[in-house]
Amino acid sequence: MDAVQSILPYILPGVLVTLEISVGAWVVSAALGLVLAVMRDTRKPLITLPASISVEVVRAVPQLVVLYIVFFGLGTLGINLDSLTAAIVGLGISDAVFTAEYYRAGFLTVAPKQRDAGLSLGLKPLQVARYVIIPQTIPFVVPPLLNSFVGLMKSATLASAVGAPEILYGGRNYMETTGHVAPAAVAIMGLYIIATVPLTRAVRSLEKRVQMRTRV
Amino acid sequence: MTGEEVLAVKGLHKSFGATSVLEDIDFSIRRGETVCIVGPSGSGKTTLLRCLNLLVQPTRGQMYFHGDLIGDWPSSAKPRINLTKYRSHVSMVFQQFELFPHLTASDNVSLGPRRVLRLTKKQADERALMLLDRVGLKPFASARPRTLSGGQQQRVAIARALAMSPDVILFDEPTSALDWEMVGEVLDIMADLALQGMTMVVVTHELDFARDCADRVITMDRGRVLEEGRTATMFESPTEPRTREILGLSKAQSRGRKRDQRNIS
Repeated sequence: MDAVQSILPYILPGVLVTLEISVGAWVVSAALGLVLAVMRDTRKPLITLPASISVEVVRAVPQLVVLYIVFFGLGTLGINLDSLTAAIVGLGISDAVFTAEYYRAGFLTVAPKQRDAGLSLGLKPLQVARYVIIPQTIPFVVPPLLNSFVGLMKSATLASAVGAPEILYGGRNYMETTGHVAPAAVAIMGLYIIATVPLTRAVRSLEKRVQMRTRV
Repeated sequence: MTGEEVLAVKGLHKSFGATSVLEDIDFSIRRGETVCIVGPSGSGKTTLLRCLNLLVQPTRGQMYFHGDLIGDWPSSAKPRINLTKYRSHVSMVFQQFELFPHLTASDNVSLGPRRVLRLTKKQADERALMLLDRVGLKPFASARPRTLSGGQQQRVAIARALAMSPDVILFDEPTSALDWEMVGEVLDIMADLALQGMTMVVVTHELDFARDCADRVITMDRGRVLEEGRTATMFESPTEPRTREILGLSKAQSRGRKRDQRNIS
């Protein structure tokens, strides 16, 4: 009990930072992923090619390396981001290439003739995406997007590598200060289980509801 | 009575890779006319409609809209007209309805007027209700497409096409996906539109509809126009033997029909 009490002051402030990183990176990922998916869906080489190359390149690079590039690499170009912003941007970009695939899979669930129906009304391609395609993909895209949020909560621990004071960062401070590694690791593990297990279950139940709806 | 030429194509070709789908098509339709295009599956009827709506670009040929040249392929890679504006004048009704499943019947109809014609929500909703009433579906305004029968869905799709106040409506086999009980309700609405002078190009296998409602009939086979003419002439004295077959006028088919009638009775 004493151990827990002594650890909490180190890691609790990091909970808020972890949440900030997860939510921020998730928003970046959801928005950028959508842009990349729409770009790849245009079937215009000048637009699809940059999107496809970006997706392939970022997907090949470990998240931590992307984080270093955003934090240190941009720094050498004179763009200095604080560790929290760098973590949000870096993890968001890393995750966006996967989110783009979720959207793309969602787009594939929409019959191609739906696009024709939208175009034949005189809607512009972006309007077709906005009013016809994307709303139909939402039931299919939301569960993997929420799963991606759970993943980002865990990936947020990488932000400690660029000095963002999230949960692991606090835990490491405790370990270095006290020399007790195991209690800190167990406490961090406990916090993550409390946060992610209910979320994962909620996503699973949402997935089931989507499956039931689409089966009709 | 029919008026000025609304839409015309000359020497239209369309190929997908090495496969030629349309060859040397000449076609035109005048204001107030109903033209039925009849032919076997794979004869290029749907591709012709998709070319007319510019959902696919022709490979060769010219296209005219109200007498203005809007495309000359292959020299113009893109049409010489604002595509979205053009399509809002040339509505299309699809074989499988293609209603937007996430929208109510009313929202399906009002989407185009709101987002393309820039009507206010109130104006677009009023127009949608008026048109749903016209196709007998006002009580279903807030129903989702999946809760409607095939015939009802196709009637909503017709209302959606009408909502754009188009110069011409292209119907792509509008009854082919329907059970026979529902075919009549859709054809009745189309017959009404024809009577009211709506300009319509109808790809169909419903020969009775073509005989009763079309001003002209075009027969197609293997990507080519076989024959075209006034409806009465086409049904009474077509010149091409293949047209006789397509229009169900050949002796063998007549014998088959008589046999079927005997079996039924």
